[in-house]
Amino acid sequence: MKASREAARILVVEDDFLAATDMEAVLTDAGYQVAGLAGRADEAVRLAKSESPALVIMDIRLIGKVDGVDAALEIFRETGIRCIFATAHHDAHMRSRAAPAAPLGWLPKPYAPHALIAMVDRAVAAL
Amino acid sequence: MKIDNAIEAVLREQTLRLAVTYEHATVGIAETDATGKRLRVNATACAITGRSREELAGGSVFDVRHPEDRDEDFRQYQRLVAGEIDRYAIEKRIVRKDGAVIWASIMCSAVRDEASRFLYGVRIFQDITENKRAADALAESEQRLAATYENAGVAISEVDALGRLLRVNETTCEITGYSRDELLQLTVFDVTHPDDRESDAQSFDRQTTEPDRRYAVEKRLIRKDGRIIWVAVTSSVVRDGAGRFRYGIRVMRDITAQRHAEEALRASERRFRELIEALPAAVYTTDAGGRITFYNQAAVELAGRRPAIGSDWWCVTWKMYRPDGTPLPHDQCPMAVALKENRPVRGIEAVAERPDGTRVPFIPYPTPLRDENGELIGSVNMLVDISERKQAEANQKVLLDELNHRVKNNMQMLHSLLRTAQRETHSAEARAVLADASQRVGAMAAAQQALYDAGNTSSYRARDFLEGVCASAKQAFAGNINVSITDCMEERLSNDTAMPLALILNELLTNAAKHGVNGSGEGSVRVRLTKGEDCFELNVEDEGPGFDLGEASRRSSGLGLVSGLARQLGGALKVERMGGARCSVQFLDRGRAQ
Repeated sequence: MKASREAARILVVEDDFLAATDMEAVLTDAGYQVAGLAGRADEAVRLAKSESPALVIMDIRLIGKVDGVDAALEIFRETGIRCIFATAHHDAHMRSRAAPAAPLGWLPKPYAPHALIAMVDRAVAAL
Repeated sequence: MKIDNAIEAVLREQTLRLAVTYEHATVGIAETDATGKRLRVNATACAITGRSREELAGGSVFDVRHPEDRDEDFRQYQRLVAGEIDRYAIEKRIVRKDGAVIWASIMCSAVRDEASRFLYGVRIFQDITENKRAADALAESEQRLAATYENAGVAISEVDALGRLLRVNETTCEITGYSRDELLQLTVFDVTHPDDRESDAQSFDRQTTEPDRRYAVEKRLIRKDGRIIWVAVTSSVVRDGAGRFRYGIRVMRDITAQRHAEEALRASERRFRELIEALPAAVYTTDAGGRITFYNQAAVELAGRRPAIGSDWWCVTWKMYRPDGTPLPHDQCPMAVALKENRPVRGIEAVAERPDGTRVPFIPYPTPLRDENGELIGSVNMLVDISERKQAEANQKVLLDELNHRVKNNMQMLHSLLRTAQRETHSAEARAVLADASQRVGAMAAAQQALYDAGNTSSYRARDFLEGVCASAKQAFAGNINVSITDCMEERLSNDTAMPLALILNELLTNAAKHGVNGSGEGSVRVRLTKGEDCFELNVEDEGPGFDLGEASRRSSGLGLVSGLARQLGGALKVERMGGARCSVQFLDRGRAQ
């Protein structure tokens, strides 16, 4: 398990600085590598292209006008990289918007660290 | 001899008189032989015909301009001559000498001998031209009258004092379905519906004794085929010279279709009225002046009273107030405004007080009503009871207040927990870490205090925030460090910025208190929060030696936090050395419409 975790690099896209650093810490503690932290959609796309992470953990609300769903759609379109969406509330409309990006999962916020790691493990295994 | 003379004188006088009478009778007299030749004519005959005695005598009466006048005259004359008839009368045209054509009425008789043999004819004639003209005109007038009467679109009939039909026109037959003959056997009451008979009969009886009374009635008529129709009847009277009833005139119109339309209209109005009655919202209408003309049951319930149609003005309510509690006179209420300014009024809230003292908050929707020409004819108003909404708003406020209070308390609890842990630990490192943590939480708790003041749910006053966070941070400083707010904008910031900004400010203040003081631990820290052209700026200045950001960041996670949070706010941390250290964080407030 640990070996596969080390191989997986994860891009964290989150507008809240503290939440982002926290998630980074949880992932790193579990053995994953964090490819980078982005707070904005354009930053996320850039990092996805340059860092080629295995997957992205994508917050829906980002700094700026473009939200996480649109960022995920662009990343998937341009690189084929898929996302786990993390959000406090998501509805049917959001899910249908995000569907073309082939999401790996939906993580409700606030999340417990073990729930995050479990979801990432499952996603990595499926890829 | 004397007696003969006397007799002769008498005879002569009589003959003279006879001759004068003959000559100057006002009729023309002509004597004619068996062929119709004139033997003798009188002076009047000459006057009528315009011809002289010589021209007339010897001529034939059958020598006429108009052949159609001749034939009948000739035929009758032959019979007279033959003794078949004693006399005959005829009218014919005579052409006067001056060319004028006149009508003459001629009476022709015969003088016979003892053996009844024809001796001569006597023709007495008069100019009847004027009479004939008048008679023709009268005949024409009568004809027209009769035609009008017959063809009038209403049924006209004449009745006697008992209501028996004396005369009816064609339309009467059409409306009733009876023939003329059948009608003349009936009275008007025979064809009247039994339920309507009595009142019509009473009115009619009264009319026969008071002939100047005209009356109108709507009643049911039973046609010959049994069908019942509604008719409108006007009954009047023709009087004789003494003013008494001579005969009655009944003019009748079929109003069945009209009555059906009226009934349908009434039914339709009833339906609409029931509709409005059934509405759970209070609805009422006024005329153009503002007098109340209609209200539904829901209006009575809202107002707590029954409005008086025609004497209540503007509003159904007992008393009205504005939401702030000040009285609102009825003549200034939204309905009054709507009518006076001829426009719908919306968006006003008011409170109605009932006679029993209870109050109801409501929103009125007064709307002027106009006719096809755009003229104001009245208005309609709907009063929507918003008590429930107000209650919900009050409940929501209570809930928010409770939540706010709860969050503030919880954060205080958190702060206290950390400070307690800080006090209780024996480890210096732990104490330092817990001190940092509790200060940060303290800053956030102070920021929370600035939120939701006076019911503002989306933004906070920058000044309140600054004062609170500075006071909280200062608690951990030594006594001789002075923190002053030298400039703070009056603006409000949206709630999203509160926590990041609180942590940033707390970090910068803590650094300034640590490194920005002189050897004796005294120092002044100046804080400014200002609004620039396209962003806001938070400055924290001290009088210390200043520092290099890059170098400091590596050693202090606090500055890393500030940078990360500044980025989160769409801005950045800048450090300048100018006498002291001056840290600036420029940031955006994306929650506000800029």
